[in-house]
Amino acid sequence: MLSSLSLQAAALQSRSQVSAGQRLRQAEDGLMSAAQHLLADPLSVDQLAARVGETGQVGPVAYRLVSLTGPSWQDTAEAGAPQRGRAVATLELLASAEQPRPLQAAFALELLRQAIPEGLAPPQLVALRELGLRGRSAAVGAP
Amino acid sequence: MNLVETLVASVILVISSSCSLQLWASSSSSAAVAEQRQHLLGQLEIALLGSQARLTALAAEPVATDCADAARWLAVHLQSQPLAAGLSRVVSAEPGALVRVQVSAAEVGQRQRWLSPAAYGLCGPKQPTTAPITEEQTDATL
Repeated sequence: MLSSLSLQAAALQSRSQVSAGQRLRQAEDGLMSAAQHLLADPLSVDQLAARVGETGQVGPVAYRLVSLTGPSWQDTAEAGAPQRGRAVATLELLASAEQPRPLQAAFALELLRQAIPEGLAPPQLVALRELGLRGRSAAVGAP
Repeated sequence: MNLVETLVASVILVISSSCSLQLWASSSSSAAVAEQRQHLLGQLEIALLGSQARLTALAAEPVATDCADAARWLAVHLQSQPLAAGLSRVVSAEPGALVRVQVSAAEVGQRQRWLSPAAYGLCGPKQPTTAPITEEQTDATL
């Protein structure tokens, strides 16, 4: 009898863990959507620093660009080769009824700039990677 | 121990065993449901991250100069990707050069993400450096 009750308690605990996990995944989806929305305009890469503090909305997700660090550029190995760089943007999901606590995540913006006769072309965004939600490393990748 | 005591003890034993068995059965069935639910949630995650991984695989190969055109191309491309049994997926090009990917399973609900072709260098003011990628080429790289 006691072992049955303990089994029931374990099932209830597992159910609450599943629902907490679902809320966390929804927050991750919201933050990734926010980052994609922020970068939907290809001309905005150069102008991101000026947008720190701005808010945006994509679907039901309201967000704010908290900070932007970089970009930092690698030294090119050979003359004429494109230069790779990276900037890190931190976004915050604004508090809502479903997500009462504001959550933040950092995203790496992978940049590339081509060498042109006049010097270097404006940076082009080539990839976006999630660095982690509240310090938790994200498992983003191919299945 | 007389007959009455033996009978009462037996009745108590039968009732207790019956209750215990019912609780075990209910626990086992809810554990099986929870396991199935976890499995479907995992499949949803794989489907959603798989769509995003396609963008990463296509990165820096512009498919169109205009990002709205790239979003429309991407919506068709992602919709054509394989999907696990029991899941359904709706991919649509949205205003603002975004693509919305929504995957759902009947028992566990849905997840959705907005994706941007511009965030992966699939569009922009620069002319494409390569020919647009065909379905056959992209399927082969999955």
